[in-house]
Amino acid sequence: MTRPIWWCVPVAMALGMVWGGEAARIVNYEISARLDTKLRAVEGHETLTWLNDSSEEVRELRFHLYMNAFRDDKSTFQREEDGHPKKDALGWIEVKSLRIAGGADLTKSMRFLHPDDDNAEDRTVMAVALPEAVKAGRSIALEIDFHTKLPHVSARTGYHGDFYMVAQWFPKIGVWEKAGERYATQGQWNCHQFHANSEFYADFGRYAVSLTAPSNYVVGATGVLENRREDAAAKTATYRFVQEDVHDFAWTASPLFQRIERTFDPAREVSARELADTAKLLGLPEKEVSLQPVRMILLIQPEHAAQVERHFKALRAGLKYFGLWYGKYPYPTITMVDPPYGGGAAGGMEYPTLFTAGTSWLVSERRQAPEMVVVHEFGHQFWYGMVANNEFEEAWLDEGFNTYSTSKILDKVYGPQDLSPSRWVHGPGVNWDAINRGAYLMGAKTDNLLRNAWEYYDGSSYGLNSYPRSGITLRTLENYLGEATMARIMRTYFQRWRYRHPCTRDFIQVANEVSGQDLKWSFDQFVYGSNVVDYKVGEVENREVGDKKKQFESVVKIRREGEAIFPVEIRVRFTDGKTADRKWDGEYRWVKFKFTGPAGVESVEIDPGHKILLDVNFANNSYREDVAVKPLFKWWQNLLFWAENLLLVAGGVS
Amino acid sequence: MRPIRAISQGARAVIRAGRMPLVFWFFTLVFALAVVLPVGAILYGDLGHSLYAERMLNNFDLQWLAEMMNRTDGLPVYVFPPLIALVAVGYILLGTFLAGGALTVFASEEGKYRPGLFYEGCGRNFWRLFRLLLVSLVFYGVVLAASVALKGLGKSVWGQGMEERPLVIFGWCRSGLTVVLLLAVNMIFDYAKIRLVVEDSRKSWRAALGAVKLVFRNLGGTLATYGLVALVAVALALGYHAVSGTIPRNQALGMLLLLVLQQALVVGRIGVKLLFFGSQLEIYRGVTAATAIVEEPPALETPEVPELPAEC
Repeated sequence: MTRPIWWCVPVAMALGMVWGGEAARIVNYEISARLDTKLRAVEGHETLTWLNDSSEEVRELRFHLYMNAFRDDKSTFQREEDGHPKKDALGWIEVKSLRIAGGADLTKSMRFLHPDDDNAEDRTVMAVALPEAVKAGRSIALEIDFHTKLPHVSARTGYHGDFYMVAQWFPKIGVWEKAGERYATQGQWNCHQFHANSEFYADFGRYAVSLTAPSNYVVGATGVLENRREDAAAKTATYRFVQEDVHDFAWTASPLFQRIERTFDPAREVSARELADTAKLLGLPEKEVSLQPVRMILLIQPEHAAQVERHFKALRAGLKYFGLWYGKYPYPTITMVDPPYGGGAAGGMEYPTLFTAGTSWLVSERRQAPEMVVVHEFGHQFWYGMVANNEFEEAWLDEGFNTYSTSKILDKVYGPQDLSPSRWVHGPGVNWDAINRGAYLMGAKTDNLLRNAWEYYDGSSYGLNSYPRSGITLRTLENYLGEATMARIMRTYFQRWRYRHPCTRDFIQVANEVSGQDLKWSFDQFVYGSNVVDYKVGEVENREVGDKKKQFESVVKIRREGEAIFPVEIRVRFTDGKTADRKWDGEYRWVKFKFTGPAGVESVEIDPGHKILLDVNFANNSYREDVAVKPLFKWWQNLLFWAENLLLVAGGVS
Repeated sequence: MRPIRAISQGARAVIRAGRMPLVFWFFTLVFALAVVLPVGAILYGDLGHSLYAERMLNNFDLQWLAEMMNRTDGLPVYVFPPLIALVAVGYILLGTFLAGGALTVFASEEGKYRPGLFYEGCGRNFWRLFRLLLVSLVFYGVVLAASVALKGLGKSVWGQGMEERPLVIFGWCRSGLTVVLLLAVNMIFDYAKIRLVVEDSRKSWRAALGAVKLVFRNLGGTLATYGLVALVAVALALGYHAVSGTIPRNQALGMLLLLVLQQALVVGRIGVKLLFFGSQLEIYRGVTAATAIVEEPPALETPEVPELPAEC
């Protein structure tokens, strides 16, 4: 027997779910959970109210059961990872019961789906057929009991010793994409399996979660702590966290955490000049770029206590520049979690209003180790947290945009990074454009930048395309359009799409609109394609002409070696010190420039500002008539010296 | 023999040997060029006529390496490590060859470098020193295996914990101990080489075990000698860093000066290597001479008969 669900609508309205805040509150989770530190498990009860805000009725619900990725070595996640977890490292989620609130028990109608592959053993997506469809604009409330066994920390969730990072731990409903939303032509579930190279996608709403843990544990979670009640007899404490306009909830617990709080005070962090400059850059009134105070919480390991201020400095940088450039961070709190040694697999991960960082005991500031992770993971509050793209299908929209943003902040705040392996040895300083470009060059032609996360050539191609290649693609676009235009594109995109699910097409639309240009040529080549840019100085000829007055006729030929086309600037320097600049649309395979004058060509350089970071060969971008004696001699002598010293070390045994 | 005296005599021996460090330097240079010339050719081919080279004059741009890897599908990774390994093995064999000559010169009466004497020593001692090199690899291997085992022990004790500090500190201690033990093996086998050459012996294992015995019986002297010569090497390196830091590296004259200084340091390091041989040879001679004196049968002496008093 089924029961009508029309009664849910007034409940949903009462909860303020229908466009109550800034976000469309599609989901409302009330969860109570108890951490069992002996069983390494969480016992939970969830009341989920889900709103069908589409114009079609929905007959089936789909849920993510991510934790089942760790239940054995047959899950899609483990098969893709070639993982063979030990017995004590396994994790899973068991939905013990699922019923409509005050209505039918749906437990028996649960079944597992595998929409992405043919792996019948995968149990990370569950479908529940409803006895009666959820009509357009109506809601349904479900009561779910679940038991989650945590794995030894893996893929950013699980336990290590007394440390618990509890993420992707409850039955989470997928996204019902309305016709016209992203690529959907009709209402459809978007609920992918958990893959080795993919992250997440969920709808916005309100989370109110009560967590019970041993009372000696320090607990941190998504959202604002409303209260803490201690049960002296049971030696437990229950925390209630609440947050609106988020699409996930994660928490952490450990008796070792040191909890430190600071306040981000915009009046102190942002000078009047910075505010004015930003407003000018963006063409906005100063009021619109002003920021608001945020409570910063750090849960740090005791052995990293010396790095407390480094964490806060990085977080302040993130709050300041993301806020100024894109829009203020709107939540009252942000929590940083520092995983312990051995729990590194929990590090470097973002969740709404909470993220995990990661550092080591004696890491040099020059390496920007916790700094980079803190700025990057905080940045995901914007690119993933608020602008909530589908990470399964378009990872570049969060990881790439975030790489672009955090690279700019790190270069601005910390300067070039020292990549030397030891804190006691100084290496050359390298900026983030160079790091990202260097990484991109390791596999420039492996894949198109944009693919489903699990369909890249391999894990490294997923990483390379989603992070550094995307980062330098956006930097190249910035160099092409100019800083102000790019800043306005990014801000417009953020403001327009926060609390929503944009796709690549939506970003292109914003970029075209704000820049006033059709940038299809760029996105077609560099996002949807894998062609590379490579322009080369082909030939330089100087010929003496004229009988009386010494004149030179010079010919410069520029060639396009790569398949991709990009407009380029060319600078020609003559032996009398004069220069001439030329522009070329870069389309045909080559172009020829002729010069006649009193001096011959001394050097030619394509893209003298190194704006096209996607060019795979800077070395052939220029030509000089004479030989670069000094640099070659310098490297040659240093190489010789290193080689001799290494040989002497090796020869020590003889 | 006291270490200071051994070192000063060793230094005199190196000075007496005249051109010998330059012979070592020449061969070192040739082997280094075997690696440097192909790299230099690539640098010239790629950057010889590029403005990118000038931009990298102050700070080498790691992007160029990535570009190179991209252009060649990672060819340098497949070519250079094997080439470097091959050259290193060749250089170790060369060092084994030259060590025989150097020790022959030091052990000779006049102690002066003469090509005939030197290369005759190189040839005569090569195979025995080569066998000794193989024996030494067993010792080095044992030390490295012990180090790996210690690492495993550290991981089993602290690896599952939630603190990194104990493991890091243990790692430092382990690394320090490994280095000390590797140097100890190095020192022991210096004495074994000396023994093989001086005694004109071919028994490598016996020389190795004898050297172990010699070092442990004269621990203070051998360690102090080794340590003091090592300090000379450290002083050389510090001196180089102090002086090279003052040379302007992007000017032609500065580059030339630096080249001379770098090669001087290489010759200096070779000199230190020979100083190890010379000083340890003196220690060896002192120890074996003392042993020989001790082992001489005591001379029979007629006990003095006290004169009896004339009157009882």
